Amino acid sequence: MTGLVTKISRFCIHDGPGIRTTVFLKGCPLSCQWCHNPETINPHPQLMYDDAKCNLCKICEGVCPNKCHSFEHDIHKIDLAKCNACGKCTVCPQNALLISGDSLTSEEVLKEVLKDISFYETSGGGVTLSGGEPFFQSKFCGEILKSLKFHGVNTCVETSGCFDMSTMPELLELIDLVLLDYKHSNKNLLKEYTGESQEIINRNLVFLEKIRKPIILRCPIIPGVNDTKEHFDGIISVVQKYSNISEVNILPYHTFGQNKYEQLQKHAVRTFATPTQKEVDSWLEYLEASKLRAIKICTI
Amino acid sequence: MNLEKLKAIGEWAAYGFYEGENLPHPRKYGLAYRRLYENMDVHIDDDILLAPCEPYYKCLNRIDDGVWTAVNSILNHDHGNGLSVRYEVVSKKKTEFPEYADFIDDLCVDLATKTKWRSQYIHSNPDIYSIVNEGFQPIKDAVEKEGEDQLFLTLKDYIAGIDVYFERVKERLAEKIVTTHGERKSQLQCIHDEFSNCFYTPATSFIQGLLAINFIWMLDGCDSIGRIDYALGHLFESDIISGKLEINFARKLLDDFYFLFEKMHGWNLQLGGYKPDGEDCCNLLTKECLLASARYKRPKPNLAFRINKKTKKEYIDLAMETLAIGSGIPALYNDDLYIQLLMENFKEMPYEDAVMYGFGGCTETMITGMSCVDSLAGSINLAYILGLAMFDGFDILKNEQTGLHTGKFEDFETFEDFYSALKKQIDSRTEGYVNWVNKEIEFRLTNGDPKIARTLFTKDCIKNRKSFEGGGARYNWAVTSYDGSSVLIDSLYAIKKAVFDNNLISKKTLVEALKCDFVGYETEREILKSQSTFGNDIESVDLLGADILEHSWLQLLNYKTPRGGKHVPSIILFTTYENSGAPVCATANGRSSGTYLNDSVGACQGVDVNGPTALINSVLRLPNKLAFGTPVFNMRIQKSLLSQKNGQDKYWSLIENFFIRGGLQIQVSVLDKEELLAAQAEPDKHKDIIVRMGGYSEYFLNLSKGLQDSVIKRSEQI
Repeated sequence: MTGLVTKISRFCIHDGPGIRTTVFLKGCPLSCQWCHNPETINPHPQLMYDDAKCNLCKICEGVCPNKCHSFEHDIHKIDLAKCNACGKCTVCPQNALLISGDSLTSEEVLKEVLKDISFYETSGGGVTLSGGEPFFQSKFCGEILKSLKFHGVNTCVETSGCFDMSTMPELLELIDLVLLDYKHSNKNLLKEYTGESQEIINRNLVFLEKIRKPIILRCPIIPGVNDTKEHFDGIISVVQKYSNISEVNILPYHTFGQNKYEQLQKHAVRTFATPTQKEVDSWLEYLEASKLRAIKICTI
Repeated sequence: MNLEKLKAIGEWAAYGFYEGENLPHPRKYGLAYRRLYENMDVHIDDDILLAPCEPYYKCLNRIDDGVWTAVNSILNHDHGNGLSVRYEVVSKKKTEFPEYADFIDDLCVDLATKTKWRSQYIHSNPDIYSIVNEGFQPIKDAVEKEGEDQLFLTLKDYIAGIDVYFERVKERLAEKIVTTHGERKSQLQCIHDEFSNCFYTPATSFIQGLLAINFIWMLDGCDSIGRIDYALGHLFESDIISGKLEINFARKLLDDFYFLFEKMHGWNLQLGGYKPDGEDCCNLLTKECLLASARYKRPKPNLAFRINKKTKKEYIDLAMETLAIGSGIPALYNDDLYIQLLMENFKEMPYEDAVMYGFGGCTETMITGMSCVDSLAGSINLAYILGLAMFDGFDILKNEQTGLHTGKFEDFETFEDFYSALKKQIDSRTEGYVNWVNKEIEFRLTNGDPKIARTLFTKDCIKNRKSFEGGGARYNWAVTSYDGSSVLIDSLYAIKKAVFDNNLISKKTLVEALKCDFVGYETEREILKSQSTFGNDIESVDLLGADILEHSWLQLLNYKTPRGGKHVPSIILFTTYENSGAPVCATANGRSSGTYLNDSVGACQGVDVNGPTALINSVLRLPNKLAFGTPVFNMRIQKSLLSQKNGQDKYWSLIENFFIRGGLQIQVSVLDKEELLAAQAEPDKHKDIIVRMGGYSEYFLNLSKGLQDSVIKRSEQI
């Protein structure tokens, strides 16, 4: 079967143990206000346009069958309502236009990720499925994971935890480590900022402990949203409660995804303040001072 | 020659040279060094503890004067050429001795004709182990005992000179102590006392050993030094444990030693690796040498760290921490594989000798204290040869026939026909090159500077009764660099795909496009540039490259040098890569005429865009093991990737994988702001720069301009 992939990145060193290849899958039911991969939200291929690269050569206007591209007063306009992401305009010599979302078979994904199998073996690494929300394409995930296990490759899935994992025990068996997002300890604020249900996350935590699945807790920290004592205490409480959490990653908010919103002709719901290094250090110190059992706490 | 005038202007080497002019070769060289050392004063620096602190009295040097090697005489000794005429000091001498200006001009002309058999660049790696463990006296005794032929008379002259020189260092130290006060006085007293007991007899302390090594390094003209931790580690540890050596004093001495490497343009210094008993040699001194590099943060000494299966992780961790500092040091070497390859390629080489391998200059393979290696005897430019194959042996830039007639490109019916013509050009060029190099070496066997210090400090020269240049060393080989390998690979693949397989460009059009340097052929150029390239883990490209390099390198390995050793391929192109592209016409990878070639074994700059694992996979498909002269692999990594322990561990995993799968060495450049700015100015040349973005890694040029600026700004804070 095929799935929709936005990117396959080799030599990823922050998405689980060792040297990894991360497969970014398209489609996510959430709408986190700080999302830095907005191109992975929509479950369909999308045209992205980088205005800074366009030199107004108008080649795209000539090749587009749907007349999406127009030029007025040296301004390149794109009518996305007409665009069916056919990709014809990606002939752009300036690489200003690209389609986010390649339809790939699991075999094609596997061929790419197995190129680095020897690096996985020597570093204790493997393949991480990320997104978007990888479980949004759970069957596709299953095919990839099954093949990876056949080849003896370590597998991680980086998930928001918005799908009930107890309904997919066979899939979970194919996953060695879950990188589980933990975005807010307050269920109302979680819902408000992401659209996610804390109830499902809690259910997933219970289930993952029951099946003894190791977890790295991934905590995006957004100033003004969850950089609070209550949330850090919430993280500490979760770690103390679930013995299968082996590591906490603090992911400080950044604005690196802003340009992608522009390329998608979308507006970020809102932007937040970028934390200073001093603030990040203080978060780490607070967590470390809590005398959590011996687990690794770091920033990414 | 008027010897009195030479004396008056302090040209002591020239004085001895002319004194022995009518004596049989190589006596005049012995006398030249003898008179130099007998008469040369010694400067004891106010800040540097190591003595001597320069190879010649108050010489011009790299830090203060920007000269390539230390120099203070018109007839000057340096590590690359031995005795040769150095024009940098002519004006200084004339200012100092205006009444001798005409004499100085005449002297330069006369000396230039008489020292014309200077060497190609021969680096060295003297026998520091014997000097530390046995002292110089046994070598001196052997010279005394071994007879009276011209070489031995020459050596005796040289030894007489350095005996005086050694005594003068002691005297000057003693004089300096008198005028010095406080802590420095006691430190200088220590140096004086230890120096008095070093060099001739076995070292009984770390300081004695270091002073002895420094002394022969100075005599050799400040080139490369073998494994200092293997030579001195046992003394260092026992002196520290017994309290005889204070760690801060030891660090000051190491800092001085490193500073002198930078100042005198010294080259390589090695660490780690197996001992003859098969155990790893890393010790406390290994750590101190790595820490000294981290403290010093300069490109010199070019620290080479030999890593093997028994190297403890704590030393690797420290090496990675040192790398993270950003000076690209240490370079890392696959110890197990180097030893294996040396023993495979030199059947007579026992394990005990193979483990003593080291490096001269940048990274050229040699055996410490046992080898004479024509380091960079010359180079074979594969991209240039490609041009010859394209144009029937005709150099379109020089406008002359410089190669074989192998047929016009338009007449080749298949890619295989063209490929066969290319191989013929390579074979012919290799033969011509070897003949030229061998002729050069032949001259040096019996003419020119025999390299007396190296004759004394290289095993078997005395036993074989031959000089270092004359083939006396236990091992003799010549290293040849291959330039433009990836330009060749990418061009070959583009020709195969765009011209022969897919008919996107006609043969005639390609020939015209290259002749016109792509002017008027921009579309064709884009087609050529869009073909797959080496460095991206694309098997078909890499294997084509592997085939042509294997053919090239096996050709060279068929030949012997006049000293009896092999011609060994290497692939090393550091800052010289821009020049190597100058004689090369436009190439079918879209490269413009006269522009840079690729850096060493790496991809053409900017075309490897699939990350470090892909680049490594590509490089490992090449027959690196045949290029054991040194297959340099430069990898550029951004500083922030190595700034945390997690990143250092994972980067080491990458290198470990490279070594396990047959990589011989890796040199890591840690990026700085200037390189990122250059990437913005010339994006095509820097597509492969990786930066950390929040929680992931990304190519720098994939980022928007604003984001790039933010990364540049962020880098400043690292």
